[in-house]
Amino acid sequence: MTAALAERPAPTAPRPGDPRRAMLALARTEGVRLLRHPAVIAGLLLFTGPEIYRWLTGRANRFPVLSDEDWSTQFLALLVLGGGALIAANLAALRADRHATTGLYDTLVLPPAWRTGAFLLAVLPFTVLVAVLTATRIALLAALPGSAGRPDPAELALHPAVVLLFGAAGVLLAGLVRTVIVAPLLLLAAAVAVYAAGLSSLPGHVRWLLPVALEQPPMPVPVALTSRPSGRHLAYVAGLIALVALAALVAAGARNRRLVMAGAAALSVTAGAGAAQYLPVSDAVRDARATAAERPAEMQDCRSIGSVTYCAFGGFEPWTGGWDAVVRGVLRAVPAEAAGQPFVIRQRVSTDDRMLDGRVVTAEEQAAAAAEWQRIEPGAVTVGTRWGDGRSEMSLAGLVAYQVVTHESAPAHIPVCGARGVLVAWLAGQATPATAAGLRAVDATSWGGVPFGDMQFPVGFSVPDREMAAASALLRRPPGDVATTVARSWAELTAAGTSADRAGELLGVPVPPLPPVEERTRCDG
Amino acid sequence: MRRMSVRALPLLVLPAARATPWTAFLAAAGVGLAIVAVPAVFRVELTVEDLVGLLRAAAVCGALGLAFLLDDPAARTIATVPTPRPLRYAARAGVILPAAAAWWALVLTITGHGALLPLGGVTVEAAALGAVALAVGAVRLRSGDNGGIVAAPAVLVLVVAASRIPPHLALYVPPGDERWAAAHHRWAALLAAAVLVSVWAAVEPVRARSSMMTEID
Repeated sequence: MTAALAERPAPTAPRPGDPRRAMLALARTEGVRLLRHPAVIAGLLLFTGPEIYRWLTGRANRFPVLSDEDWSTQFLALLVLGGGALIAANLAALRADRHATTGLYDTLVLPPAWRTGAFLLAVLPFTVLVAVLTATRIALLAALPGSAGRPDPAELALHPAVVLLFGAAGVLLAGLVRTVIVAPLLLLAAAVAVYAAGLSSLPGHVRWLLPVALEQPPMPVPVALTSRPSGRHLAYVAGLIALVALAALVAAGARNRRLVMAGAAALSVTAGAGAAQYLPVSDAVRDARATAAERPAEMQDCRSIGSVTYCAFGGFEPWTGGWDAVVRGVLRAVPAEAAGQPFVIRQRVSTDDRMLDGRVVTAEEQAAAAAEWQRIEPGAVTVGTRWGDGRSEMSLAGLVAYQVVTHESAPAHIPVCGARGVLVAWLAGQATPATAAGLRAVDATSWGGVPFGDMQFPVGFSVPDREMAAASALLRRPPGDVATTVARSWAELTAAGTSADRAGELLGVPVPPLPPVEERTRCDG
Repeated sequence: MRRMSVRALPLLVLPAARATPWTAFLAAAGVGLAIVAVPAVFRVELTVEDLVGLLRAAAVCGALGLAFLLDDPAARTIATVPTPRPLRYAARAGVILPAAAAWWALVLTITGHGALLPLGGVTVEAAALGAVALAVGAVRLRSGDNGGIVAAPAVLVLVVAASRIPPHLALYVPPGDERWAAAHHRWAALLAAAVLVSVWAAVEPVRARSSMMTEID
């Protein structure tokens, strides 16, 4: 405050009764202090640090889905950036009280309500910084050659909006409760509420009334299929910001007609936008979802490379090159006559969460769902809307290998045993370094067998541990040598009745003995 | 001199209880109880992982409350009284620790499902967070009057940082994970380190203290 007064240029002293300039001067000083506050700096480091670390160590996903990336960092922004703004703004507004200098401030030109206004305005520079940070992050992601989809500006704008809301809440709390413990507790309670409302096992109506609506969608979807009411939610949060700021001014003693009118306007925006979030999903989105499920070809562009046709949803075309590298990797290792058959790799989405807790699916239902899935385009290999994580690569490689080996469409998550299992797992693992890494990662965390294919899709299969052990032994050998041996015994290895032990003999790898009866996988194949 | 001070410890407990700023702790303890009580009251079906998450959130509340408990506006003016700072802190700890333990027991009771949950591990996490809060507060009190306003944000930063570190060093691991034991060794190390720092920070920060003490003795 003293600094702000000292900075005021002497010749143009403010007119008595116009505290606006003093408020702006205080806001400038407090804005800089807020940016330098340890809680804000720690928040910025926690927000950016882990992501920068991932990029530096090469663990970041180079195939981001922008329509997912735009909102998936909102909870973190609430926790660390909003939390930093909340604590720093609260401590700043309580500074006079903490230092027992409140009485001295009565001698200054700025009435309490205007001081509160200055503290509210002081959150703006940090808000702008967060907006720049969010925009830079998404621009860098969009510049990646493998980025898919497009970001929603309203989802991006929610990051700075949440920071502004929490900063204003910090100022309001300082006016209501003169204890510094309340701000961290509010942050914690808000984080728990947002997280709990986002759990898919709970009804999700409350989540849109919280500052950030956390969701756990089964998979990213093309932009035309997204149903998050992002624009209305941003308007709702903007209304909340106005309400909180006005409440802070009123708590500081401001009383006039303009405040009442602004309050009424903010309340109507908040209530209107809050209610509008619950409007049913628009017909266009519902139609697009039905089309994507029933007739995906209508929403896709296809591209043929050799004998393989790749069909991707709009926005996902940059991934066909990556898909092709994996498919080529599988086909390279099989005899020419098997590799030459035409393939269709079709991108599919599932908006129905098949992994909900407590959802029981019988084998018959599973098989019916798989048959329904294949009915749309028999023979097409399914690829999802995730890529670049190793698992997606290994799943696509596995499904292609299954089709090459068995000439059948992917089954309903049944185990693939015997020589076919060994061969499919080896073909998938040797395709590219990414599929090898994905196979190792899944093998390390799975029990009983290694699953191929996204569990959110009804199609996929698993290779039991015994077959997987033989395939792992094969993967440790030079791929060229194994491919020659495989080509020599192709007919026997791909026959349905050939056992894993026989495959071990043909390929010269040890196959572990059969486990005790109670631990064996039931083999349908 | 020193023996007399130690003998004064039991006499200090009641005044220490009166002088402790309880408001912050009670507010934090209340929020912590609410976090576990709301799902219990509404009988929401939660997984073991979600229940552990609730306990962890409650533990953060408890640590936030503890962060303020060493604050003493009179600390500077009584630096010269015969009862030294370590003894005053010991008296405070004699009040604070049973209160915090009782609160945590209440939190665990309300959460229920004791047989399913890894209560020991979660308790170590809670103790470590509380100890870090007290340690940061005590260090801050060596140079200022308000330990809590530094210790409370420090606890939050620690919690968020702990949940974002790379997987092989993870502190917050889901129950049943194979890294659970290793993660809790790290929590125990953090607890031990925080206790050591608290003990160090409890010594009165006076320059050339040893020579002064010799003169007084």
